[in-house]
Formats: sequence, C-alpha cells, structure tokens
Amino acid sequence: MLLDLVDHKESINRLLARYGVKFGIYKNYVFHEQLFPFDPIPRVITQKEFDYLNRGLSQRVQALNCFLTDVYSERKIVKDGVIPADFIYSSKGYLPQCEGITPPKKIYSHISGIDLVQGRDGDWYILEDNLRIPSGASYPMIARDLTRQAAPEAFTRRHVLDNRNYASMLRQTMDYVNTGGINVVLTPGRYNAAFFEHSYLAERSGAVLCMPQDLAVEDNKLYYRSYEGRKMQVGAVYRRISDEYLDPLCFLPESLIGVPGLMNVYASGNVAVINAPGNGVADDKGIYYFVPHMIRYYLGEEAILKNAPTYLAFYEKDRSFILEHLNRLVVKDVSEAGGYGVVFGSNLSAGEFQKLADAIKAEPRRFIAQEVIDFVDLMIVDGNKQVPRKADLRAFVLAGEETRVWPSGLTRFSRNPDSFVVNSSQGGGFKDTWVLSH
Amino acid sequence: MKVLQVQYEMRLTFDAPVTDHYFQFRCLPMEDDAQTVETIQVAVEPACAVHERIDGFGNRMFYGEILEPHDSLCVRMDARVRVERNSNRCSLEKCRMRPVSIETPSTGIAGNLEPESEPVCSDTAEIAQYPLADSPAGEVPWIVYAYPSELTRPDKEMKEWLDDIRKDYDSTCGFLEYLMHRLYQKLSYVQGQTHVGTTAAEAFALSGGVCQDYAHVFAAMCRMAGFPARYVAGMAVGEGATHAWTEVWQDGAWAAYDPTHDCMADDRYIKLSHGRDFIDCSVDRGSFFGAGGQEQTVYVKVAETSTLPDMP
Amino acid sequence: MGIISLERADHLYWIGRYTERVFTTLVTFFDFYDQMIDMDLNAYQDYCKMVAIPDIYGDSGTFSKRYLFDKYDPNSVYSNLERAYDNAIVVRDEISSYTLAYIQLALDHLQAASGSAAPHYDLQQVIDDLHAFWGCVDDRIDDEEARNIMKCGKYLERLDLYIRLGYPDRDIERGYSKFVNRLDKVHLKYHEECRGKLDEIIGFGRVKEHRDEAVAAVWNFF
Repeated sequence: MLLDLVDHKESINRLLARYGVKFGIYKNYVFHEQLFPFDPIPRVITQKEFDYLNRGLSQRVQALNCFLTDVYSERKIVKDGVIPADFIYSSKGYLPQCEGITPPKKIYSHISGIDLVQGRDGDWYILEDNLRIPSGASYPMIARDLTRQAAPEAFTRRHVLDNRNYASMLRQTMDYVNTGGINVVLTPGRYNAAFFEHSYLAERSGAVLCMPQDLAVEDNKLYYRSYEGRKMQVGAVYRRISDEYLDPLCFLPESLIGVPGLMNVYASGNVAVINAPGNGVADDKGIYYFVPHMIRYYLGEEAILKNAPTYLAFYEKDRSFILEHLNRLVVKDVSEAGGYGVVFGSNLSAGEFQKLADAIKAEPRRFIAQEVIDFVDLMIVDGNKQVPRKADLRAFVLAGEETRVWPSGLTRFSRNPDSFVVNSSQGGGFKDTWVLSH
Repeated sequence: MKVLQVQYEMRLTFDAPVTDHYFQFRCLPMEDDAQTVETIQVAVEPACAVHERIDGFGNRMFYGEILEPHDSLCVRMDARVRVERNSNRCSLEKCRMRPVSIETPSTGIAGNLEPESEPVCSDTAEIAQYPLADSPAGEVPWIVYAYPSELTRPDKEMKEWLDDIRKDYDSTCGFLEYLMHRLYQKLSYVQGQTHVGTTAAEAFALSGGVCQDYAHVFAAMCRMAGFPARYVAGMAVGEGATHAWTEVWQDGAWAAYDPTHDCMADDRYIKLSHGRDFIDCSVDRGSFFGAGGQEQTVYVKVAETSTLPDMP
Repeated sequence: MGIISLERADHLYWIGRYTERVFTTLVTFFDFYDQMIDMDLNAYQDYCKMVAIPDIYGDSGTFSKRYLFDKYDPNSVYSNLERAYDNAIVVRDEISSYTLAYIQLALDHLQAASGSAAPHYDLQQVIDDLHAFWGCVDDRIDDEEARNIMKCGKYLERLDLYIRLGYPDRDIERGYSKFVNRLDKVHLKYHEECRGKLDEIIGFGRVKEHRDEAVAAVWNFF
C-alpha cells in the first residue's frame, strides 16, 4: 500500500528542499536551520474515525475555553471545588495581569494543538494540550502541496480530504475576532525555531508578517507603520511570541522584542490577540488531569476522548501509588515542554531512581506520572526498507464562529527505534496525515 | 478619620530628545472602603492623549504615549482624600472606577472630576465584579496572594529564620505583629544597597534595604506562615518619596502592616496600588527610544488638612 | 496591501542588493577566472582591491574556492547569497514562496558546485536561478512599490560594482538611469547631495577620473 509515494520519496524531498521546509534549532547557542525529515507514507484516518476525533477534540477545546474564561473572571470552578486553587494560581502559565480582560468574542484558545496517540487497542489517548502557540500545521500543509506535485497519481482514487484549507480556516479564525483592521502574524524574528511556519502561514492566510518594531500603539489602538509614515490599524494579531515577551509595560520590563502598550490596547477591546495571553494556565501538565472534570463541569457531558491514565503527586493517595510503581510509569515535570523533563521510570539507574523519588516527595505539585501507553507503530521508509516507529498526532482545533478540527494534522515520529520521544527538537521527523472523505 | 492633601510629581528629563515614549502610571489614590477621593487633578506634560483602565490586580492606571521628540515628561497628581482605616483594618475595596480628568497644557486647566476622556470601561457594574478585588468577607480572597512571586520567593535561610520565630513566639501579642517586630529588629534601613529588582531573599541576606524590601520580605514571611499577603505601593504623611507596605489577609479582611516602621498603617497612609510584589503594581513604568542618559525625580507630599475626633 | 513598514522596506532593498551582488560578482568573476587559468595567476589580487575586500586568500586556487564557496568568509559569494535569503524569507508573504524558492535553489546549486573542477560551467545554474528569481519578482509581486524598492537596491548595487570594477561609461550610465528611474517611484529617503554628485560625474562621463568620489556617493546614498 502507498508504494507509489515511497517511489517518489526523492522528488518529494527535492521539492521540500526547494521550498526550504525547515525548522531552527539552537546548538551551543548558535542558530541552525535544518530540513525537517519527512516520511512519504502518510498516516491515514478514516472518515468515521475522524468524525469521532472531531467530536472529542472540539468538546475538549470548548471546555478548555470555558475554563479559561472562568479562571480569568468568576473562578466558579475553584469555588465549587472541582479544581484545587493550587493548580491554577501557582501555575507559571497563570497571568494575573489578564484578570478581568474579556478577549474579543470570548475566545481564548483560537488555535489549539492537541497531541494524541493511538494505543494498540485502537483507542486514542490525549497526551497533552498546547494552547499557547502550538506550531506545526504548516508542515503537513506544504508537504501535501508538494506531494501532489510529485506523485499526483497517488491521490487520484484515494479520496483524501484537501488539507490546504488550513489557510482559509486560519483566516476565518482571525477575521472572526478581528476588531477592525488588518490581520498580522507577529514573529519574534528570523532566528526562531518555527520561522518557516510564521512566514508560510502569513503568506497563505493573507496576513502581514511583521516583527514587533513594525507595530506601534497610538491612542489606544494598534497600528502597522509604513516606511514613509503612513499607518494602518491592526484588528487581529496572530502572535508567535510568548506571553512574557509581548509587552514590556505589562510583563517582563527587560523584554526587547515586545510591543509597548499592546496589552492596554487588548484590554480595551481594541485588538484581538491570538491566542489570548494567559492560556498557559490551561495547558499545564497538572491541569491536564482535570480536563475530563472540566468537560463534565462546563458542558455537562462525559469526555469523548480519554486522557492517558494519570496520577497527580499532589494528592497523597496518588503520590504513594506513583512511588510504589515508579518503575513502570513515565514522570513529567509540569514546568517543562518540548519533550524535556520527561522521564521513564524503567530507564533509570538506582541512583537516579532515588533522586526522582525524593524530588517527587519534596515538590509533589511539580510532577505528574502516567501509565506508559503502548501506542501503535507507524511504518516509515528507512533506506530501502520499511520499519515501524512510534508516532503521535498533533491535531489542530480552530475556534471561531464554531469549533472545528482541521481534517489533517502533524504526525510526528521518532527516528530512533527505541524512543517514544517524537519532538522535532529531539531529532523526530514528520508525516502527512490523510483524512479520507468516505 | 483624616483628610489628607496628597501630591505626587514625577519628572523625567533626558540629555537628548527621545521618541516613541510609552508611559503607564498607577499614581492615583485607590478608592476603597478606607479611602474616599474628594478631589483630584492630574496633569501630564507634554500634552498627549491619556487613557485609563483597571489592571488585573484592581489598580487604577492611566497610560499614553508621546511619539514626537521631547526631552522631558512630567506627571503631577494632586488630591484630597478622606481616609478611614477602621481599627487598622481595611475591608474590601470595591474597585470603584471614577473617571479622572487628565489635564494637559494644551487643554488648559481642567475642572475637577469632570470626565474629559471616556473611562475605558463604561459599565461600572461589570468592573465592580471582576478584578480580584475580593470575595465576600470571611472567605479566602483571591488566592494568588498566597503564593510566592518573582520577587518574593523565599529561600532556605528565610524558612529557617521563620521556623525560629515560630518557636520563640509566646502569644503575648498577635503572631503577625510579633513577626513584624522581629523582622524590624533583624533588618536595618539602608539606602543604596538594594534596587527595584532586588528579591526578598537577597534583601534578607543583606539584612536590610528600603521600604520596598521590607514589604517584600514581610509578605514572603506571611505567605510562608500561611497568610495570603500583598505588596502595597503608596505614600505616607510627610515629604519625600513613595512608600511601600504589606497587607495581610487575616480573620476575613486585609490588615495593613508597615514593616519598615514596625507599626500598622493607619489613616496617615494613602494607598495607590497592590500586587504580589513591586513588579505587579509599580507606580510608573515606561519605555522610550533614545540614546542619551535620563534623570528621574519623584516628589511626594502628604499633609493632614483636618482631623476629626472618632465618633463613638 | 500597499503598506510597507520601515523594517520591511529595508529587507526588500537588501534582497535587491545581495542578489545583484552575487549575480554581477559571478559574471565578473568568470573574466578574472579566465585570466587565472593560464595568463595572470595573480589577477585575483586586483579583483580584491577593486571590490575593496581583504585579500585573505594567498593564491588563486584558494581564492577561487573560498571566495565562491566559503560559508565562513563574510565576503564570499555564498555568504552574500545567504544574506539575500535571510532578507527574503522575512518578506515571504510579499514575494511568495514560489519566488523565494529560487534563492533557495541558487544556494543549493552554489553549494553543490563547491569543489567543482569547472566552476564556470557549474555556476551557470546559479545565474539561471537568479534570472528566474527576478522574472518571478516581476510576475508574482503585486505591490509595485515593493518591486521598485527591490530594484532600487538591485540597481544601486549594480552601479556600485560597475564603478568599482571599471565597467565602460556606457554601462554605468545605463545602470544609473535604471536606478534613478526606480528611485523616483518610491518614498525612500536619500541624500540629495549624493544624487547631485552622481548626476554630475556620470552625466559628464567622468567616472574614471572621479572613481573614488563616485564610490563614496553611492556608499552614502541612503
């Protein structure tokens, strides 16, 4: 199956190189860009399966948006004792500066990247939610475009839903919350790991790619300033700069890359910021545990998609369970991201094992532990053979007038046969994700 | 009850003209159950449009920008405020928002309290609900003040010191009072050895600093001892600079402690803003584009205009 | 969208300059390379002087390799092409991925030619890529102002190299009029006195006599 694509591996790779499909990485503080390794065999999801994922993921993101609205206004979920205050107010991602601000159309997470895996039992499990600035949609989008050029016949009879509509979905998402003015993609600059994506999404969605110095606040509105002194109002900022660097007047005073006064304009309702500042409180690895509770609390429904079985060291009962079964669990430090701070108990030496156990006892709030999910392997091309490798799926959920899942996604795989870690920063590659139209 | 005449003036001068100057001030007296602003005037020079909003912590702030080249910025606030901090307890502030007229030279002298610019949020009912001000008496307030912040994260030395204080405590006075008293003995008021970014742990290690450091260390200690505490920026009767102290959530209300003077903050104190620490509620913040040096002077004066005997 | 920020105008201008630097350098380089095959082994020394780069090369063989391909030599053709790419990728939405790809291709072809025994032949591909790039600029960039800013950079760079490398007056004159033609269509701020100087020197065909002054006027133009 799909051998026609494997045969075209070379030409697809040539096209990917031509279009500079790269990601950046810092090695010893020096910025390098490298091609993102692409595997031509796509992950294929049937229409029926996608319908199921679509329902589950939309439900999840709706609940997360309700949660964010609640956290920054009435805090009912804390008052009702569903989530301990500790998990919200001691989270690094919680920004009290955002209290009382109502984002346009009350949407906090416009673009959510939800990571899931499929277990050997066929069930899907959510691994984590990324509600700040999830990246990756551009890769399957351009890979599809180029694969169709290199191997058109592979698509003739397979009924694959076109995923290049991400550009228009993104545009609609921006337009929906736009408060009047142009859409811009705000990038910290050329030397960012995801710069390819910033520039590509700007081009495809028709937004203007800009750096912080292109924008300026004037009279409580945000403007894009032209080189000869004209200005144009900005109604929506799809920012790819993290919260703490957005505005030196509101967050880190020493930040040099932000737009001074942006948060005031946003708080006054005069510009939409995508995603909303402060979302980090909802994609914290500790909060993850509570998402099924949120779905029940806000939507009155049971979660359609399962979390991986998770234990919170914060709860004493869970903690003793974790310490007892440490050798079979994967432990995650809630403050780390990008595949860092993830430890498999089974891989530890006796010394490391004890150190981890001590750390959990000393700072239980910092750790969660999960059962290791035996997820299905996907085949990848390795030289002339095909070999199985671990892979996950980052699904993109866009919230605008309605919440919907992009019929594709970024499938990332580990190139190392013994590893579960699929992050590009750790050497992983990517595949296209096909959703069939019937 | 006291009526205080309050003056705040900040002057920033530059060696060479600067442009793209953004500023943000939290220098207006807070309006809560303890403080009633009777009159207020604010002037910003050079002339520019100014906007107001309530920040995430419930503080009033105003902000604006001067894009053209200029070599100074002056902000002046004059107010008469009635203060009634009942038995050293300030209760719940309601975060009332009253538009204040900002006077700039081009508009001449503005009348008192006549709204010239629209308040940012016109729906006052909505404002009263949100920020953080507080939950009903008796309930634990917005719990963010229970956790360490950037500048108030305690270290091992602070923890050990607090443990010793707990052992020494003999219940003859309230614990927080005792804690404040011991801290006062431990720290000495020294100018110049700390700066605005000094953490509580650093100031504690140096055994001294200025009011900001006292307020940070005391807030950190209170939080470790299980009392939510917040940093307060304000002014006190006298002449000179702004002041800082600490409010602690105790028995269902905020109590105001001034650890720098080892006493409770009373009716001679004017509160401007509060937050987890200094960074959250700095009185002035800004950024500009320019190459030369800058000099900043702040002048504060608070005087009693009348004192009425307490009613029985 | 018809509005170009200062930052973006700068990038557009420098795309023009760097791509043209690579293009004209390669074309001229082949003349010197031709001499170095069997006539004047040290011709490269004159070349370095003319374009005012330090002669760090030592011999013609090293020069041919490093000047063309060395990523760590800031004056190499490769480094200049990389700078063109760095400026172009940040305005991808303006110039389109399709156009940008030709700079990527030029980089890849340049890299593939390193170590070649016949660089003149292999580098023709890079020149072709740059021609295609400028063809795309005309066809694919909707915003006329953006195109004109790029061309201001392109023709100013060309003028600079022509003057430095001693091109005939006729070529210089043509290059200058192309530059001025674009300059008058955009809103870039420039130094009037430099323009006056160039009008005078080039208009009266006195570039040979006033080479240094002309180079300085170009250098200080913006």
